[in-house]
Amino acid sequence: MDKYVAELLVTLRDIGFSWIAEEIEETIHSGKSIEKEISEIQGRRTKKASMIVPLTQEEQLMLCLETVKAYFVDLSDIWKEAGKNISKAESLKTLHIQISEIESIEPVDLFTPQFKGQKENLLKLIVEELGHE
Amino acid sequence: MSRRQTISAITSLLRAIAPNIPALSSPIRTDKIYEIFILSCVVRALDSVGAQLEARDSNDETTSTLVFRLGPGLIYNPSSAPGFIYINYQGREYELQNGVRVLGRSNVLHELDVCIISRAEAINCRRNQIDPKQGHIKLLLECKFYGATLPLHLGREYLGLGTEFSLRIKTMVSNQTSGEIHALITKHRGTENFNISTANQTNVDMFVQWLANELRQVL
Repeated sequence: MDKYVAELLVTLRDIGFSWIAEEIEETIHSGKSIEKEISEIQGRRTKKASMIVPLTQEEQLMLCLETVKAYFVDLSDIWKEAGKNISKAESLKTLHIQISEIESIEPVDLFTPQFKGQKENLLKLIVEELGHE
Repeated sequence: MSRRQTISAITSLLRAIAPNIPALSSPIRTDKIYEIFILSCVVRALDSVGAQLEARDSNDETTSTLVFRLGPGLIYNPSSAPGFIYINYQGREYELQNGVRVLGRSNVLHELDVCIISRAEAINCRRNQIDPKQGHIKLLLECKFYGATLPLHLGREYLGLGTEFSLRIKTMVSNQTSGEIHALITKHRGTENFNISTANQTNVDMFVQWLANELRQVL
């Protein structure tokens, strides 16, 4: 495994997001499917077939960073956009949306106010590294 | 900045961010956020076709706060059922629901991420404390939020779910994509809508337009 991926996975586990680390590991272990051409036995013709190959170290790192971006950056944008979409309907303009546990009316916390600035810094770093691809 | 420095900066920042993003405490929360986003796309589509919409709580009363639940809900149990959007389209009434359990063709209950149920069926179920049946579902969206790529088992599960529900608008929606799942689903005459995320706004707009066109045909 790529050394930087290993470092990121350790960090994700340390901060309590083991399930994200596991998702990344499973995806890396699944490899990727590629198409290849094979010759037919005793024939001149070729036909297409597919096979699974491991991800390169660079691909592993890109996958890891894309996953971090999806959960730590895109998710909060998605939540914000959900509210915007709903309020586009005139009759739902002032509607407030929340997520609660079963049998509770209290909203669960999703993102703290401090998160916004941190998210922007994280996005800059990820985009910079993905740009090296 | 070198790669070494960038990765160190990212790991430091992740440690600082962790307490400020309780949304990531479990995949149940991330899935729910994505389901609500997709439900909001259905709201956009309904609004664009001129449907009248109103938010209701789990007791079927008008509300100014729409509460979604971190778990499957029974439509007749207000403590587990989420709020919903009441729909009136050209005099015909429906409910846009999230995470409610519905009986499939085999009479087994399935939690539907986002669905539209006929209003008469929903009222009947609340009154008689019973589960809705698949024949009254007008739209079914199975939502998957993933980090990078979708594991193949999701495609297999979606095909299984699809056989339980006979309706025109049923699709698998995800922020990610998978060539294998696309091949699997389309081979069985199913549909997918992949790369639906704020990171791909054009795709979101196309998805909303597709929903609007389909809803005009079935509502």
